[in-house]
Amino acid sequence: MIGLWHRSPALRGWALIAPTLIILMVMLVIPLGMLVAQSFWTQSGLTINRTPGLQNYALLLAPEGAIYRTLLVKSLWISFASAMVVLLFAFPVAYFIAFHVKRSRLTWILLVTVPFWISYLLRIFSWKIVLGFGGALNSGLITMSLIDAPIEALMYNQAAVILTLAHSWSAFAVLPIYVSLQKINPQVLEAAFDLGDSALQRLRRVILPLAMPGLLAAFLLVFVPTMGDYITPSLVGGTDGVMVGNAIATLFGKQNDAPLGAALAVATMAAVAALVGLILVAARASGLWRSRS
Amino acid sequence: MNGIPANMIEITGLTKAFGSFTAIDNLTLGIAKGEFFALLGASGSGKTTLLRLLGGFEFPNAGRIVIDGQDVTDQRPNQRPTNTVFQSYALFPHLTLAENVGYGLLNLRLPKAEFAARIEDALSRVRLSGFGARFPHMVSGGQRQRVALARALICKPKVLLLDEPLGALDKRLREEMHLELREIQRAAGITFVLVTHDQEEAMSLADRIAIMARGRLLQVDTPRALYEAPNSREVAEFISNVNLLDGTCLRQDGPDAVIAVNGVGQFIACTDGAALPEGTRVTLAIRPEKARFSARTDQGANQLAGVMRTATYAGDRSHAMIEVPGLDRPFLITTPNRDRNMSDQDAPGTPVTITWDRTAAAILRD
Amino acid sequence: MSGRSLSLYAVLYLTFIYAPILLLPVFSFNDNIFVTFPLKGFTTDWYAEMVANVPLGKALRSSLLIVGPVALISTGLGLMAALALGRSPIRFKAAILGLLMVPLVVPTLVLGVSLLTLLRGVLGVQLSLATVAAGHVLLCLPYSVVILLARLDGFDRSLEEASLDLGQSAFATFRRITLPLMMPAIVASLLLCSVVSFDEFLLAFFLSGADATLPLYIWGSLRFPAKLPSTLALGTCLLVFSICIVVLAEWVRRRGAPGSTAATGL
Repeated sequence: MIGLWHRSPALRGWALIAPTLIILMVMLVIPLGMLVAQSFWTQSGLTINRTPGLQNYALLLAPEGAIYRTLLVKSLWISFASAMVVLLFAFPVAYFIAFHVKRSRLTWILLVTVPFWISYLLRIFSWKIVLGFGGALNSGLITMSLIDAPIEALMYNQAAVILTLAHSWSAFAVLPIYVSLQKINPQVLEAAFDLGDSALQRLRRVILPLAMPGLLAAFLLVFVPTMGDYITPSLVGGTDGVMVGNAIATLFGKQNDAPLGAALAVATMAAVAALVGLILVAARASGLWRSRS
Repeated sequence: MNGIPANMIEITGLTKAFGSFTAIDNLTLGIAKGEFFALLGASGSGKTTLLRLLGGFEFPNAGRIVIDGQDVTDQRPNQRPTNTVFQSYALFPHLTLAENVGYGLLNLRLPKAEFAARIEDALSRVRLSGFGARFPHMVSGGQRQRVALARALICKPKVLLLDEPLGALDKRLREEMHLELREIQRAAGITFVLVTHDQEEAMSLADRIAIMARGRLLQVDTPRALYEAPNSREVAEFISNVNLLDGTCLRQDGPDAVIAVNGVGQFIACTDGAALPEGTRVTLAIRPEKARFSARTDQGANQLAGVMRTATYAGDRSHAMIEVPGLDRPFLITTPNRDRNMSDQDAPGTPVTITWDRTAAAILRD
Repeated sequence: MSGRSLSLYAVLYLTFIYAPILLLPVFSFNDNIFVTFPLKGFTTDWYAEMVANVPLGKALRSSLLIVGPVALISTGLGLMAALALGRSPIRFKAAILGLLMVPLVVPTLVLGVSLLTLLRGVLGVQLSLATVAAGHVLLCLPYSVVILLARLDGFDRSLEEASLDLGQSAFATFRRITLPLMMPAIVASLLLCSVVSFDEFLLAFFLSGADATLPLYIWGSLRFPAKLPSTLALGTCLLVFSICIVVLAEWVRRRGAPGSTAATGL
């Protein structure tokens, strides 16, 4: 037995990872599996009918489910827009750190990553302070006599949600882009210049394709989790900026229809997976993303 | 007991597979006590796996390893009488050089003074006295290499395993270390097993060399025998350059055989005392420095007419590539530059005659 | 793109990232119950109000109570998992690593409701700080494994082989070589898991019982404008705490890895 233990590093490996696997099984796989199972049940009042059926999904597709479908599409749009805004904001910074910062790279990376570790709640709360009706931006602009009355349109809309999400998640995006840019051999860039590329051509033909794995990773790291966001739309979204996460929370809570909530959650994750798959296929088909193994 | 010295290492029927890839294939080998033994092969030949099996870092699927009369097949690295000098040196970055060197003594629980004295002794042996308090990242590559050596030798292993230990050093330092390694090996009387892909290194260091390919031993012999009397085309080609002529034995003629090479001619070659039956298919292997060429037609048995293709000057010697009708590869000849003037026969296109002695060609029977 | 315009952009980017957050401390010292410009004057009243706040103190105690166990358990499990993934020849490594990263990708809201269903609906567990802590371990595991695995991959495996070769047992090798070399990453993981647990809101929102954690308290007080200034003061304290811990964690992690420039921990 002891001999087997010593001679089988694989056995030792499984023993080491077993507790983690058990936790993942109990707290991740089973709950998510149950969520899926639950989505096939029905509930009226306090009684739950556990006969599996497609009623909830039928409801989501029926005319009565239009508000959930609208919400889902709007959430996809908000998350997609946020992820694109994040890429747009983050790429030049990652590029700057990778190619223009020489000595203080670590400081820059730290500066960019630290906000990520600050309480998500506080980050969004801070935007409420900035954008609010009597908030910092409005009162600041009035103080500087640039406007006479507070602008109402700053908060409680989709744009506010997109801006806030982009702010909260951009720290998440700089790193993968930076890592993929940093891997590029500077001589490759010199070669592109040498072979006649302009700076813009070099960006499009050499740097972007090489950074594509990082850009895709960054996009997914923002797009996927924001789809289920609850805090941001609750705090700065208003009625216009409400997202599918709010509806799921309400269904599980106040509306007391957990099965429908589960179905909506499953539908959301399915929609995310489908869109992610579509994006990966498109990236591959466009030739921007090639596996380089 | 009966006068024949027992081998220090006895490997029998050793097999190691990683998934479907067989790294070591039913290998049997004996290494004598006090021998400096080299495992030479291309990457992927299994030489490093064999060393790791000897060190106890991998366990075989089949076969036994006996070291100094004791079966160590199931023993882990910390139980074996072997120590290893790793390719990357594997110096512990969080320990000083002295702590690194003394690491193998920790289990002996020596008195403090003796512990320190043995470390100082080991460091001075590799000419690093006074460097003990430094950390590995503070010293040069050559110094790190010597620390790794001192660390591995401090436990007085029966066998020292060296995994490409000089690979990271530049050429000059490597040559210095060659001398030093031989010195240390002679002084300590320890069996050394060295893995290398550098045949010059293997030749200048080892008493015997095993040529490995595809997890098997192609030939185990002294450096001289491997070079002058390879047992196969593969070994002949692996060790340095060689001209190979495929032919058939026509007849034995005293100590020599007459070999007919299709479409090229007949040649005589010494069979080193062995009898070569008529009709045997053989390959003549002629090392580039063992043939000559000149613009004149020469007298003698082994002659080939050709045309100079390129001649390359390399300081102490020159390399000629000569096209010979009937041979699919140009004939290579290396000539020492005894004269400071280049000869005019080196011009491309010059017709030349190649000759070699009857003892210059080795006969390969595979 | 010239270097100059890029560095100008980078500074603007940092302003965009930091300016809203830095408004918290600015207004927390402002002598005005409304969060508006112009600033009226300096006051520490809101901090006094915060310290005197009893429910807040309770919430702080709850948060501090779970931070330690969460960090220790996540880092312990993470270390074991990293050793298995980085040092043993087990199969399905990619799948296991993928599964470990799932909590980062699945919306926390979905994790929250499904854990809630399992714990309360099926297992009948009473919600408490312990259930919050369990949820936080799940969220911390990916960070812990990534940080520890990066460090483990960062040093040569033959260091451990050399120790075995020089006569040390597997356990002694772990204690003398692996553990000291891993220590910076272990400390970093402990610190970062603490921050994650201390700041986490959404899982706590679903999984907490009677005791609120600090983020839950903040969430609750956001609805009351009168409490806003003292919430700003609290937010400022959390901000300072988080930044200090993260910078400390990075410093420890990098100090232990001389010459490594890539930031592998998120």
